[in-house]
Amino acid sequence: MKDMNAEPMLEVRDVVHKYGPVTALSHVSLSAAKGEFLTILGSSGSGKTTMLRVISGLETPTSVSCLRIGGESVVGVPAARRRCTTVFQNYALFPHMTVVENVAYGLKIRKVPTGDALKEAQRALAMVQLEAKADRNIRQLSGGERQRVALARAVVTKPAVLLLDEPLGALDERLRQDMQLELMDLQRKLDMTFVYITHSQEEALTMSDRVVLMRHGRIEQSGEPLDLFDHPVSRFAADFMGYENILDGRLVRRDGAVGEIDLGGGAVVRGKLISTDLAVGSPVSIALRAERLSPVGPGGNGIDGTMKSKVYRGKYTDIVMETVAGALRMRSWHGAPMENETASRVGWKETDAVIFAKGSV
Amino acid sequence: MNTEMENVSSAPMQATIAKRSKITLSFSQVALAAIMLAWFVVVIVPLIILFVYSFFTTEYFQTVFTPSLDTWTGLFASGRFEVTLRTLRVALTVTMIELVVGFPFALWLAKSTISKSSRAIFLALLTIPFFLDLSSRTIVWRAILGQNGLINTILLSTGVIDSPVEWMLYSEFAVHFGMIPALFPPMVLPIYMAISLIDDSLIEASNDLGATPAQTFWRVIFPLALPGVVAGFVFTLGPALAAWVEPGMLGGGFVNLLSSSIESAYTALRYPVVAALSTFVIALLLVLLAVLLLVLRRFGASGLTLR
Repeated sequence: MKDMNAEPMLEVRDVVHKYGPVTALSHVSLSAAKGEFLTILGSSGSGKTTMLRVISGLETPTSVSCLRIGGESVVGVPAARRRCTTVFQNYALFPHMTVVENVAYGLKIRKVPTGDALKEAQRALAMVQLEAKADRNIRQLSGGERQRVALARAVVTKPAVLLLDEPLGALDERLRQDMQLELMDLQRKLDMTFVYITHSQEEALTMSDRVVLMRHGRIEQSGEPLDLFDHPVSRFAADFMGYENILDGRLVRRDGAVGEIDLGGGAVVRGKLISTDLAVGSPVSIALRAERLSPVGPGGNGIDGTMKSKVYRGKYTDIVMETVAGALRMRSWHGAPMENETASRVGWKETDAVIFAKGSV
Repeated sequence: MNTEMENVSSAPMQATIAKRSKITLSFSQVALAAIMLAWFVVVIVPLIILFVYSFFTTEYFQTVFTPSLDTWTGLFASGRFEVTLRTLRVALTVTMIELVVGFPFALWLAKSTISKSSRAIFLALLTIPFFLDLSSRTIVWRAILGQNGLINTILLSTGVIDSPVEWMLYSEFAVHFGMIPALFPPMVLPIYMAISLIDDSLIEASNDLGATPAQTFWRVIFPLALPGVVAGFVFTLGPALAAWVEPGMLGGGFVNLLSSSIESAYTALRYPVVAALSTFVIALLLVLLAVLLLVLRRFGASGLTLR
């Protein structure tokens, strides 16, 4: 856990941004401490990229009450004079410069003597294991290498905040996983504040200290990765966090943090309540992860059903159960007892299911 | 077993593929040869003939087909040197003005936030000069710039001047003035194309890394637009060196350029002189281009992306 008492490196309060009649950001606030890895997660059109552009200064927000980077207010300050740099989605490397010239660009702009600038650039390249390719042309690099050059170019000027706009989007699966680890490593080494934009919940959960989930220009939920993973506050958050099963019902009883909901058709199930202010009788939804479901005997917390399909996928088997509340997807790991049996009831631990207000989709 | 079968079946297939690619290869070779031959016949051969002609002489309005250097040695007699200098001066001045005005315009057209439709309108406007014959467009200026022309009439009637301004027509000013609108599109369009190809994110990245607009311009935009600048230079300087409509119509015989010399030699049926002068103009263009490329390479080695 980072020291949250120190002055935040990045502080944004109440930013509103409109593109004509479209509201891209609606009263969004967030902050990041020094050395924190903050991820802004959202699907396309959620406003996450606009948020990044507002922070970097490439976009001027319609209104903002406070925007501070490294302790200085940057409202009205042009992008060039903000202590933050961006790693662009397509890397945006200058094609007419060599690798080392690209990295030294920010230093040359700051009138650092050429010799020193090149030395610094070499050091930054060494940090991303590319010192051997310093004199290469950008065109001679692979996607992953370009990614690293962009990274080196952005950190060489020692910004207070580094903004990363889906930097791993264009890389293949394997490389992406390697780069995730490298990015985390680099962030720790530099002790720099990273604001990372992504639409991949897996990236967000792997790398971040804190995740901000955005939707329609608003913050849907924010917290530590585990918090978002295990305690989604809404249907949208649960869906985004990969909950395969979300069933609607009505809260019939509450017992501390455990709630009991009626799914209709006589099915009454239990799960963990996300919020304490859910009144008995209010419409709620319950979210269940496929891999947390298992066959249970009669009487346990769960729901009756019949097996509809079973697809073997190697490491696991996907099973679809037809129940009174709709189809339930269940995942059974290879070798688990469920694999070769049929089941007539699926169940789960109360703490594995989350209940939240139904709300709009 | 399975793999064996695959091997068996893939062998003849590979042969077919090889055969097919051989055919396409030879076809493209033929096409290439044909295009090169056509280009050679249509463009290169006339130039060679032109060059060869410059080594003949004229006697009594007849071309004498005996090789000699007389035409070349006599070329710079009778003030031709002065004419050459004037031609270079006019052509380079016009090209530089086009570049200085055209580059910002092209940048604005390609990268400003104007709507797609206004951009289309401006591009369409740029093509208008290609619709109308150059002489027709040029002759209009006489009615505007002349002693009794539109501008003088307005200035006289409003009392700004007492006697008509005379330097506006039949002067070097008028020749420049006539050439600039005619040669604006050839300078702007290639630069516009080159700037359009610059990814906006490069400009944003430069900005993001701390560069002022001026630094972004000189370190990112201009180097990346250089191929367009070079093309614009060729398309403007060539016609400017060879221009004869504007000097003829707006120079009124006071502005003698190489083109005027070519024309009078042509009228006098002195074809070897025409040939020598034309060769000379082409040579001038090539020399100027070589100088331009050397200068560019020197001033921004990594900036020159002509590859």
